[in-house]
Amino acid sequence: MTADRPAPANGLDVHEVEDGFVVFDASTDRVHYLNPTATVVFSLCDGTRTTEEVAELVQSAWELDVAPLDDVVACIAQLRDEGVLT
Amino acid sequence: MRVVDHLASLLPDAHHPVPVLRELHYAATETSAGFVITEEGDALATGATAEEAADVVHVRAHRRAFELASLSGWARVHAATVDLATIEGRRVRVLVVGPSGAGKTTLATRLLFDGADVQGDESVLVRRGESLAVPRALHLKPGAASVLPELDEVLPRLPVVGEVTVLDPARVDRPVTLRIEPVGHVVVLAGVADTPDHVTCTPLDGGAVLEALLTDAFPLTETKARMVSVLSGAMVSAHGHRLTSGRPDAMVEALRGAIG
Repeated sequence: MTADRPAPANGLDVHEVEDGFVVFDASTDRVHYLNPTATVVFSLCDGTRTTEEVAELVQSAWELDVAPLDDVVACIAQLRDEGVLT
Repeated sequence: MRVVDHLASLLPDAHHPVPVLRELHYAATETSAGFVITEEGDALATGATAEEAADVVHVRAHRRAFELASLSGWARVHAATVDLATIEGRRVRVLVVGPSGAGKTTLATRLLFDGADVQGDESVLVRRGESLAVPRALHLKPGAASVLPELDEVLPRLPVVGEVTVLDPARVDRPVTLRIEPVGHVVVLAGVADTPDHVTCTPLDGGAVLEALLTDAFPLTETKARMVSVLSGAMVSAHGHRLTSGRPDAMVEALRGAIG
């Protein structure tokens, strides 16, 4: 079974702003604003990492006691619903 | 009055830091049928009166300037531009964004009389790390003096165009020197305070700020993708705020409290 490795959708313009990312999807003419947490998750989802690996990296980055797998799964699901991640 | 005199009354007295990129030459020739206006020798339009001819030139020159600015990477946003001094003595650039009638000019006028450096009240050019106000005299709507009593003294001396009283800061002893500065704060005028004195200025995230800028942008040659790119770049180090509308003094106090 192939592990889920989320990746950015094609054709996105990504711009860094003071407190996150602005992502423009020309195919849907939509502008997405990613807050700092979503920005980190989006940045880590480069198609090479599993969801579990992303959660472990988030745990490390924020020095958390446990990997926030549920939160990362929810965040990725939302970004997929918005068409920002595949 | 001659065409050039009417034009002079439309143009604010502002010193500009950007080198001249291009000169545009206009002529208005009076004929028996009115004025014939040319741009670079080519027929452009006609005007029945000198005032009409001046308005044609004024509008056309602005449009050409904005097209050239757009091709140079600038985007134009409907916003007031004010440079404020912080508590620490730094100068920060504040853009005030909101639809027509939201109170941008009222707030800008209040800040002007408080001694702030009001660079412009109608629109601003922005690109990554830079902003430059488009100089224009403040256009005061009827009833402005009811919320800004300081206007009572100067209003009788000011020209009136239609229903609008034109306040050029330079003509009330406040000369304007335009500066290119990064955007430090974007203040979105949104909502009316519960009472005129109970004004709030609360943090606003980048997404909401960008949405407000996109709503109040004047795209000319830009695609939406490019507009998003330019505005994101202009906001790269800006803090966002939501300011409710109320008594101008209270708005200034809330704004200064948020900016520091």
